[in-house]
Amino acid sequence: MLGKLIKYDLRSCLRKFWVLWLALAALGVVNGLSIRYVLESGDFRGIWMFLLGILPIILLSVLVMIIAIMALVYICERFYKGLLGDEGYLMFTLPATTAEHIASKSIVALILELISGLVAVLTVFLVMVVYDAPRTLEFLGKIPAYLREIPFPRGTGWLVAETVILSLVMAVVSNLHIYQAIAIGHLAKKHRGAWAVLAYVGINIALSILTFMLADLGVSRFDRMFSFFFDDTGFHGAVGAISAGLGVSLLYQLILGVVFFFGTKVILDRRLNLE
Amino acid sequence: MNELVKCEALCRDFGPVKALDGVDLTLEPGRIVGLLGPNGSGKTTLIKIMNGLLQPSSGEVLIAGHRPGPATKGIISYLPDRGYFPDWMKVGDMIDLFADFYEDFDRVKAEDMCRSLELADAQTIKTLSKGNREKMQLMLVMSRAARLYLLDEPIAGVDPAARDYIMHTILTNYSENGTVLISTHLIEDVEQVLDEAVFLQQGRIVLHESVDGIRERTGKSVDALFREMFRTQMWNGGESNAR
Repeated sequence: MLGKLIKYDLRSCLRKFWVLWLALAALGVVNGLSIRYVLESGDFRGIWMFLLGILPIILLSVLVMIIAIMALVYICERFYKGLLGDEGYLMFTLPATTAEHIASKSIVALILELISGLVAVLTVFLVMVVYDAPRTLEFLGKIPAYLREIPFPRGTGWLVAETVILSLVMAVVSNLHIYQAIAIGHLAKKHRGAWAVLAYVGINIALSILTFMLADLGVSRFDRMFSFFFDDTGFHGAVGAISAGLGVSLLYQLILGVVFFFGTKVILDRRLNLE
Repeated sequence: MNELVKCEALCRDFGPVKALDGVDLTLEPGRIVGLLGPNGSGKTTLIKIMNGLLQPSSGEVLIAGHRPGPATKGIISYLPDRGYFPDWMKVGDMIDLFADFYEDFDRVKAEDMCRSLELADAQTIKTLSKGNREKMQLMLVMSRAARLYLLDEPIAGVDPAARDYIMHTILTNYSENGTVLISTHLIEDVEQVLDEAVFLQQGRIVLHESVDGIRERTGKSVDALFREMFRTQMWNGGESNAR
């Protein structure tokens, strides 16, 4: 059932965003062309400079912000309207579990964030290629050689992998945080949206206090661990210490994710109230 | 045990209001049952609880021996009292969705019914008229060979011709072994097809009897009995008008 739910949620998502992604890529091409024209003409004054040199960059930046905001709004809206609005009558009468519904929404939200990020990176690449393709390709071709020359300490690959995993987990957990807040808001009889916002802020404050307390508790231990790696193995040891820090963060995020996921599930299982 | 639906001491409160107040109800397979009651009597609340869309305050409901969950949702075909299809989806998308999720869905039957209403696969839901949207929902719901059909006010707010179409669609498409529970307050339109009638008043079942039994016992139609039982005291304009 999870695969089928993802298919349905993904269609709903792609339908809204493909035009924006395409527009972003197109603006990347426009920016590349305008930068090339301005630099080649050497005219940095007047209205043409604004229209060709500055306006495309402003439009590109605004579109990136619009996509980021729309993605956030979409993630909230799909959960709120898709499960707790009229569409919930359809979704909650499908023979799927609540856990599958939450998982589907989380996975599609992550896919949305990943594709949006990827399109943003691709747009930067497009600007560079359109501006000067030979130099861009030459630069990209040299990157592996540059990387080989850098004396990366042992364990750097693991560190990068940990960072990527932590980023993905944090993205999922931040969405689950939103779902948990919406589910808490659903417990209210009236003004559920406002209660959801309050719940989100409340959870944030509680987590800040918890993080502060944990950091206070663990700072001396982390300090000892950090000193151990540094004293024992020098520069290479720092990678181990950072890696250990990332590991602790990953564990913390995983625990939060599990709490949010099951907290949302329990509310929707036991207190669902589609009115 | 031959119970398809079993409600025991089912209660649901909305603050101080008791929407359901100790409902005990048993329904057997292969019956067409009218869930009859005036507005606000608890019909929709009872159906939502059977679907798992609402949790009871106390008591229990079992569908084919299971509490509402994925297993019961696979055998219940539910028509809510509102539009619940996403506007952006197309007619064909909705057929695909039902075919994807429900093993008992008959795609050929659904497509035939859509053709009879001249609904094209490529039409989006939001371009359909309100009437066609409601008919399409009904068609998809009735294209399932479900064990239990829960139809919440299927004929409310439509003209008499549309009522005939809806009742015809229900009667010619439900699975023969399935039970159909139709909630309505328009009893005259459904009475002829009912096997049983359940009268709900202020969250309580005040009558559950076969339609033939009601007619024999009271010498009245279900509609006449309903009007008698639920008649509201008319306001005649107060004492000044009575003089």
